[in-house]
Amino acid sequence: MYDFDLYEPESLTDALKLLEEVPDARVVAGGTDLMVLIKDLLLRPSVLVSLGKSKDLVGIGTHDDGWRVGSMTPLWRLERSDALRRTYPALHQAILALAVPPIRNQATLGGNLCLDTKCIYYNQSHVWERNLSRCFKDGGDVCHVAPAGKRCVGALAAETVGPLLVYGAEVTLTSGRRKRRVPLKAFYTGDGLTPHDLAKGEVLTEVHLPTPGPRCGAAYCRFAYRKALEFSQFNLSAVICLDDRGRIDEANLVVGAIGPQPVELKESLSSLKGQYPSGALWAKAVKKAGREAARLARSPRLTPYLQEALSAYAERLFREAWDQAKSD
Amino acid sequence: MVNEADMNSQRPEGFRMIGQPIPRVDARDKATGRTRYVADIKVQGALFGKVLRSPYPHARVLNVDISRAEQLPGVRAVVTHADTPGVLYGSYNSGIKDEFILAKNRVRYVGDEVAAVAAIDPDIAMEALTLIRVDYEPLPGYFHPEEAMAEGTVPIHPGDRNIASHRLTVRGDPDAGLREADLVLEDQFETDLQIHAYLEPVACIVEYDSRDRFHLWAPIQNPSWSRIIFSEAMDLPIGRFHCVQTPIGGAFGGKLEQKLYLIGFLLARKAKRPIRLENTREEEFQSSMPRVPMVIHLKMGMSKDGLITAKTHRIIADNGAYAKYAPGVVNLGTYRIDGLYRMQNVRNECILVYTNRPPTSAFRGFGNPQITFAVESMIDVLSRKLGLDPLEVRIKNAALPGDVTVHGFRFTSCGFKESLEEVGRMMDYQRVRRERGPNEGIGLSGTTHVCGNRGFFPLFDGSTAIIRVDEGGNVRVIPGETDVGQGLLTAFAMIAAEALGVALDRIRVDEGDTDLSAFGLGTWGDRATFIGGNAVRLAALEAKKEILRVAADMLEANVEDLDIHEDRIIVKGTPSRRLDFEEVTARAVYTQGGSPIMGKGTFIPESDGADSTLYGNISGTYAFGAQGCKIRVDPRTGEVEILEFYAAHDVGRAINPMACEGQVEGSIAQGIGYGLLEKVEYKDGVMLNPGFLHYRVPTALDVPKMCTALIESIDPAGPFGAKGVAEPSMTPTAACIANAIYNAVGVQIKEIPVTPQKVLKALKDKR
Repeated sequence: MYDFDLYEPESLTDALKLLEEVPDARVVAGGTDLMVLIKDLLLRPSVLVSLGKSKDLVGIGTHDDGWRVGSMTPLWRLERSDALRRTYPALHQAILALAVPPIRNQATLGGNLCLDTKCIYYNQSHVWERNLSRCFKDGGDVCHVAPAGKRCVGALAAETVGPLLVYGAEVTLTSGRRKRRVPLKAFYTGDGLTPHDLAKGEVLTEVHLPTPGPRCGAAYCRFAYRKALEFSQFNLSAVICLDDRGRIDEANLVVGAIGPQPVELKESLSSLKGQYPSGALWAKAVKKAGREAARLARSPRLTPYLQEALSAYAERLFREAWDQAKSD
Repeated sequence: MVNEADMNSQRPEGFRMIGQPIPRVDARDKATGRTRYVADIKVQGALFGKVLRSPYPHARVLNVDISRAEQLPGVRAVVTHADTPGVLYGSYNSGIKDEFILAKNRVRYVGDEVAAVAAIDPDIAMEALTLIRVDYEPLPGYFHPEEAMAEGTVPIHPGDRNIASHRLTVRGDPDAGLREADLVLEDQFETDLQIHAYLEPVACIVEYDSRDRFHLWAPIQNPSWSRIIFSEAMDLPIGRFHCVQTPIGGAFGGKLEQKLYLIGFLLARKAKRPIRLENTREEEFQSSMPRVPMVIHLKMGMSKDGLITAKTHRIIADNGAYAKYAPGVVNLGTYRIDGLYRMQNVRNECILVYTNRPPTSAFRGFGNPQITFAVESMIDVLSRKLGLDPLEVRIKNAALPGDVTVHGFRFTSCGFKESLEEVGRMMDYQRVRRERGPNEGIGLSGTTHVCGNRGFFPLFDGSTAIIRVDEGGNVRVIPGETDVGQGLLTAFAMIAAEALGVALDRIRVDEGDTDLSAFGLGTWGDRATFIGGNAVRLAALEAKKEILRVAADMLEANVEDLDIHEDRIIVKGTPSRRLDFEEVTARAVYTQGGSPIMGKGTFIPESDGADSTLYGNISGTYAFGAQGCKIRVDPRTGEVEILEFYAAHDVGRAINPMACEGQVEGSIAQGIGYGLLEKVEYKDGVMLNPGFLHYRVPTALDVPKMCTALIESIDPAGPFGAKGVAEPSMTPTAACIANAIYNAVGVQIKEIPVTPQKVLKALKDKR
């Protein structure tokens, strides 16, 4: 480790002021990931601004048009909210799949959305013995995952992104000068080096979740080699909305953790609109989902095996979402 | 000394302590953070050591320049090959000497030790490493035995085709056996590296005193035996090394003597200050000594009524960069299963090959899990193809008490058949086989292991324990063997308490200390309870004799009429005439010039060692067991879910059933990791997953419900009849899983770990 200064402002205003004054300050939310990066010396900020004592960023507000969740709300609070489990089941499932309870006690929703991309070639301790050339993320000029590629394909391994996308979430980004609200999808740049559209001094302060429409169902699942303490090989979030005759009005599938940004298969599913759902329909609809996701992600992370597994998982996920939509 | 005749005095039943499920005596301290591991010991003035390791898998070392590192303020010593005695050394038993303490002119894997520094704080030590300039000339790296054995390769060590050892053992007439068979199968199986992944990284404190003696504090499985290797590597007499075992946070065979300790000696001598060295987790993964990967070419014949008529195997094993204990692993570990199934005709060929991966060595099971995976898998396929039931085939071939195996092992007790039957009963085998759900399957596997191994250390087998009772009635047990986290402190305390007739809380069992404890080989090869437990028992009986002698004077009674019962010395038949334990121990000490009551017990098992063909009864007894599991396969993704696990192990007698069950459950978890999850990823010889995130040891959620039965065959030579359980319980687990997959979906996965990719590919190939 090395020495750094830690500030713990007690309000967002104070935090934003600090961030403006200290140009290379780094924001800490729960710190469950950032502190690992610092310990590995992958980041060496000289000033840390923790939002842990800015109580104005913690809380869940339910409104007519949906929910507003403060970015510093710890995941355990969402995990233990029955209302959340009922209203946004896919998000609840994703939180339960994330890491392990001790980490969820500390980690926050905003922190998860701002998680840096991950790669086995980059996220290693400084004492790792290596004789591999430096990759893009490490200041070099190669990607060991996609050697032919010209960009970093680090994986955005945040579990909550996909469910929030299918629920149509937006986020508020606040700095000392301005406040803007953007769709969550627009928050991700697709660049593995700087995966978030976050300006200097800007903080993700709030997550807005619209109320799910009637006859809509959403579900989440993931493929991981272990049942806990594991980043996903891919995660899937599906949503289905039915019209009043039980036909598909809208269907979306978001694939996460396979590249620097989530991949939406909305277009390839647009042909489902107006059709009556059935087991056979789902099977047909997702047959090529794996291949399609790999193509859109432009990353070899989704290997041919994982593409196949993705289609199998997606089929089950749509059935689950459909069951929900029907019972609505 | 207590002679062997006293062995007969053990009561068959009616134990006070033996057989009770007792939480470990060290559990409370460990759970509350009071246990002081070596990393918790603070030493005034200690320097922090750090090791410079090779970033190349294979390279010539042209020059090592330490001048800038030496000049860094705060650095007290920098050592290189020039500071070593410059002699080659190796593990005790293999006869191969292929290592220097620090690289001379060659590095052979990523992590190979090149130099080390000692500084006043860890950051300065780390910085000093960056100031050491090493000029390397990279050489081609070989990461698979097949590559390393090819013509025209650069030899990793002097010798032909990178072969570290080659052995062929033939018994009976394997060719005739194969001809007699109604069905012969031939196939290839492959196993991978497995990292010990114990929680406590290897660490040590070393002091070098003014009389040129080295003092080592370390979590070391074999303190006495290590001195032999230290002496050889440092080119100094054994007596110059004093090893103190600190509490061990998991070992599994990985905490035998370590190079880190030798580097500590070099630094302490040069800096003339105590040294503290601790591996990082990355160093643990990159530079520890993982399980030997094997490519096993296996051929077996079976008659149509299910008798195994012959077995031949040719193993090509990956030794990594240095021999270590791998020659023992391939040669002594892979022929045990031949006795489990009463084989008469076997041909075993083992070729151990150097590669540029980490040196592979001892790991729980010692070669046995690898060969067991292959043989047990093939037994299932043979059975199925002959229309036979795999459980019945196993029972039919099972070893029985009184057997002398094809390699000369004498089975004085053997509960293998009972173990198989018990697993079948627990899992409701016949019904589940008929009525299993879609894509569900069950699988079985057997196992056997030594309990000590004279073939490993021909000069010596046995154990001596010392017991000292003070005037306050405190009993101190000084064993020759070591607790490695398996619960030996508790087992020894229970054995001493039982034999002495006193309460458990009077007893304290020491960790090893070569200046105090008797010479002992330490804990490996499932020897500690069987051999060491006998020594403790005999020592306790001798101490008891001494206590009764003093009590006889005090009570004016005959020694033969006295006994110790619940901390009191009683006159048998006259319960009112009795003395408290402390009254007698105080009298003994005060009237005998302060001499504590001492007991010394030595046990030498009736083993013979092995001849030059490895024939011979290498162990005083053998442990057995069987496991079974129920799994479900997802045919769309190839994922395997383990639903239930069952285990029955012949432990001779369970000294502490709670500890035995704990051992078995831990073993199954480790076996599930080996069979399904744990895989070391490499790119160009660089380990990509040197940590717990991407090297996947099972979490609690990945381990299913487990049911354990303990079979008590009451070994005639075991302490109260006990044998070992730690290693055999890990051996069959991977084979069980593979067999259950075969049963569920009809595909046989011949490479572990069984990944979903492999299962899905096999399913597709079948379709």
